Amino acid sequence: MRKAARFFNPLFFTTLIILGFYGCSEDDDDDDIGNWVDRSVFDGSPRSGVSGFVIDNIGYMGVGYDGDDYLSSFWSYNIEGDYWSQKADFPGTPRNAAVGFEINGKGYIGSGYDGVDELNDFYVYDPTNNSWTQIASLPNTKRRSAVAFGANGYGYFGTGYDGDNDLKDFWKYDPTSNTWTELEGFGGNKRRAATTFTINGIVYFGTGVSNGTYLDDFWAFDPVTETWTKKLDLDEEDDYDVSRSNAVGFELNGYGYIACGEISGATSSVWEYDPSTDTWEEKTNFEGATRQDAIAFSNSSRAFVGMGRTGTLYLDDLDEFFPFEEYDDED
Amino acid sequence: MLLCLIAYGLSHLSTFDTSAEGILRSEIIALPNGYGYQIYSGDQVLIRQEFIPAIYGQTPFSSKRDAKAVADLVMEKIKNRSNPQVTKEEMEELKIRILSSP
Repeated sequence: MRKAARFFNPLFFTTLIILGFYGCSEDDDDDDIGNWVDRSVFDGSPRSGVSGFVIDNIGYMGVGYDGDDYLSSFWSYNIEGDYWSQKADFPGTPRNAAVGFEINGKGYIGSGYDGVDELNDFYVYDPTNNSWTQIASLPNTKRRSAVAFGANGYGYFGTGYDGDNDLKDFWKYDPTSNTWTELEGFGGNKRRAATTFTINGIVYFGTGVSNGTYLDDFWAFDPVTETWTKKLDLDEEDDYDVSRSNAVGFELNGYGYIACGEISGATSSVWEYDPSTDTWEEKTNFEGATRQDAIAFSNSSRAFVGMGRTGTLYLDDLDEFFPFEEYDDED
Repeated sequence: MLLCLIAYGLSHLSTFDTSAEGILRSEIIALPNGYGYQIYSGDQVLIRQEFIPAIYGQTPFSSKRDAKAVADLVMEKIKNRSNPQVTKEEMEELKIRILSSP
């Protein structure tokens, strides 16, 4: 092991990412704050509707759709080293529009769409031995374009589209007993392709679409009490333009972000949520191509957005987001 | 001695291809129980594969030849702008030897 490590060190250092840019150049013009920097070109086939999760400093993503095929390959992105590795294939039917979430150091992927049917099977990935195990299927409507998140040792899953109708039910997965139970109390409307992010243990949920209407309600879920609290609407201020579907949500340094997605066509706009004031602020647009069905990896101190599609062009790049840097079009 | 080893490794274990955009090349890496590979585009590591892709477990390649065969396949896919995922069927065709996980 020592020999291998030494052999690589000189090469590794050239690829290490230099950090520490935060907060160096605030600007009065809000529109110019937030910078996106190109990261590893994922030379996987361009794919969209991928699912994933972050465990420690590794982002995992897989399945998805590349325009021709539904995929089962599964990859890890090493945030520190800025490279990809192909991991054990996802064992279920190849699919897109699945969900991914993390509970206690293990990743979960399930539900989705295989090109013909909606799905309700779920699998757990153990990064310590690079293997998958099927877990209990959702004992309810098969669906795609749902949301899911891990919180407080449980998985939560809800909303989505069953092929005929949009849905508003939520379910809780207990990894200890391998069981799903329905969770009452969500007061929002049915929808598909919503998004979430988690700040200091509170999960924020919003966006999505139903019957052509982009929803503008916004909710906070406290996993300790399992209660939902309605926050200010996403159109509370006249200049808010947060509503959309198929967006990515992520947390970075205590703020929440909703980026990219679709609102009558793919969008690259990015909004920042401040949980202390329940307000939104627009950031620099995503600098890669405009996209929907992308994926975000965040380890809370760094965040990356990539993959996704725009129209029929499937994308394969990954950008790192620096929300407090001045916009620089050279990087 | 170590430097010599590194220099030897870089010059002998890498295959260069200048026809692709950027310089795409692979490097076979020595691991405690076998071999892996890295795929570079210029100076940047795109893919680092310490274990045989697609299969469960953390099993390295059992020979340099196997690691290079799969690395070449992946580079070919990248050059063709096709999905560089490696399937179990492709590895069977390449006669990759897969020992059970340690």
